[in-house]
Amino acid sequence: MRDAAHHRVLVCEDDPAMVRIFQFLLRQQGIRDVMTTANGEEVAPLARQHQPSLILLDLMLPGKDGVGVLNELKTNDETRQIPVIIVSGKESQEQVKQAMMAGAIDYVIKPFEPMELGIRIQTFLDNLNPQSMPDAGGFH
Amino acid sequence: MASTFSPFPSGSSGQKRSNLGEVLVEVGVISPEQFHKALTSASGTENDIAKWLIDLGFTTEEKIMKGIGIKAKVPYFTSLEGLFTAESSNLISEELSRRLQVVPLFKIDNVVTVAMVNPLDVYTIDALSKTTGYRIDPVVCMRSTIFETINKLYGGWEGSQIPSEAPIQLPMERTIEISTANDSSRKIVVSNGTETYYIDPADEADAIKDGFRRVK
Repeated sequence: MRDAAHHRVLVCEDDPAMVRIFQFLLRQQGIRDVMTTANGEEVAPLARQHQPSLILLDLMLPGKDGVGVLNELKTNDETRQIPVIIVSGKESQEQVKQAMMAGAIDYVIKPFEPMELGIRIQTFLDNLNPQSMPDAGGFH
Repeated sequence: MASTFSPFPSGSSGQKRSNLGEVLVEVGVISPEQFHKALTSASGTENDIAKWLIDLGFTTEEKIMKGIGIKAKVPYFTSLEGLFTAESSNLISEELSRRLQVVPLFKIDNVVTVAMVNPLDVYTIDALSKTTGYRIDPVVCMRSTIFETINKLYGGWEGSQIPSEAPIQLPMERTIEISTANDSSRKIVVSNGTETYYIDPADEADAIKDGFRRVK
């Protein structure tokens, strides 16, 4: 188990207010290394370069839709191991199924319970296999 | 519709105003027919439209708040648990928090995130910004949640019960106290005896049609 302070989380969300909410929730879990992007096109390159422990992904991003981003992440050897939690207002069964089939580990529907999301994030990070976690300098 | 005036803040001068009923129709919370039925029940004014929409069984308070959040493009929460700490109470005084019916949540960089019922209430947001010295990011939640959280945050006090007169207090029911509102130099003040608002001078005629009169 790795100390929360050593985790890096990539937040992919185009609403600045929601980004700050994620930042606060992550800080409450002791995670201060938070990267953000508002553009779907940037997610996979950022994930490859910075190897976050976890990605929070909105499905409705400009540039590339969330399922497309997930497919890109999960078909690349450098990023397929990074867990992705979908946090989105989309909530049809088909959309949830699509996201989970594409490799998301969880799907949180907005409006979510902030405390519950914080606990879920912490649980996922606590349960990460230490050998699969990247170092700050990059995963090899 | 009897008239077009609503104290629902318009944002900037010249921008189209947002009447709550029209907003709820626009975002799909109610149908145009339900809006008109509720408006008829409310004797043609939008002042009690939310209460009537709920009483007639057309929607719920939660759906109305969610609709406001969608329209205002701000996050909506059913619970604020996890979004505040004991330090949050240092951001805004208890007195101001109760008076403006807002909950200070957290500050990141130069932005304070605040929970409130009406994120389109530019006067409250302006007052908070001037008071705190920070930019204000609103999130929406139900009024009952606002009061519950204020009580948790500040420890509660005897007079802190949620007023029982209405299940929801929407923008048109809000009284903006003149002493707390800023930017008064560019506004006029209208009142109907119980509600007082700063409005653009161009809106005065509509306000008068709805029973308001200019007081300043």
